[in-house]
Amino acid sequence: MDRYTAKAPTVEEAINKGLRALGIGKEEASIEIIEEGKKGFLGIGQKDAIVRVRSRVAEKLPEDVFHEPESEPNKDKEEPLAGEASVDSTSQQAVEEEITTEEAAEEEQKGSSKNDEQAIAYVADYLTNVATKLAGKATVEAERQHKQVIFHIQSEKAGVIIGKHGKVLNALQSLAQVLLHRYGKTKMVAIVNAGDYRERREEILRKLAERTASQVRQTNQPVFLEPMPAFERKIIHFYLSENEWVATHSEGKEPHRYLVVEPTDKQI
Amino acid sequence: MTDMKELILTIVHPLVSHPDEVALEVTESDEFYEYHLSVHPDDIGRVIGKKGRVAKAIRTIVYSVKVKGPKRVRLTIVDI
Repeated sequence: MDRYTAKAPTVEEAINKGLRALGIGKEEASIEIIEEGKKGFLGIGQKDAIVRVRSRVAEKLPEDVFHEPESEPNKDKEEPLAGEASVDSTSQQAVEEEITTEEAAEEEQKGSSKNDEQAIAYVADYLTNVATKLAGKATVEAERQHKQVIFHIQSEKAGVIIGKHGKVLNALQSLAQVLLHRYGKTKMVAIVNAGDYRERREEILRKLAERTASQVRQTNQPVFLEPMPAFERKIIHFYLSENEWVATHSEGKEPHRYLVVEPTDKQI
Repeated sequence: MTDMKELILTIVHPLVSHPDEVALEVTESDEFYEYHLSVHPDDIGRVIGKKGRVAKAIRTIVYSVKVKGPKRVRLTIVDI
């Protein structure tokens, strides 16, 4: 073995890990940083640093390996370290830690789509497991639309998965969101749907918005709605933004933030 | 009660980076089935989340499950 891809909380640790695995000193190795770690906050957003350590003694590759087509055969070698794209480069003269921005960008591009798919599959799997535990039998289908990933949970006992006012469904959604951010490279938005709940809910919210707006117009008094999650408030804001007779804004702190519909000055 | 235990573990395992260090203890008090969840110190933040968002989501799901009898379930994340 003449190379090793190491993963550790910090770049330093990863390098040491790699050197130890290869049993060589720092002078004999060329080190390439694939990803710098992120410390994150309270364990959120934390990302391990990934470095590729290569023994320079064993490395007698020709210079032009760098220009070879990207479909390098050494892909399989790195498969275990899921998600790392394998754009190879021989930074032979690399003194120590070296990273070329060009390379990094390329790496990112290739890595992200593959990595995203893996992340989505992983989250879908997770939701299947949890939903199965909750409702007995459930399947999850993932559908990606740009930055949005919609997970459709199909189950006979959809009610259990949705919960009162969609509480359980929203909880599943926030967990899915956390996992998707942790494993995916691009920031994607997770939406979890069971049956046609979200569609039904949108219809209900639209009716609620209309009813509230007409009530506000008639009474000329502001109306305070029940607390609801951000994406549901957004739907109401959106519907009422076209209504020139009322104005909307939100008050209160999450998770008890609620929407206020007020009359505008435009009264006749 | 194994159901509940399995559910909690299925939820928590993928969230942490040291899945083998997740421990769940069950005790029974007068009113509650108490589940004490302990994870690797590095993972505490992960199961709690920003402003307790993850912990809240976990609890919502766990508490939504119907339990036989008058006792309710309580999930505690053990902080060292």
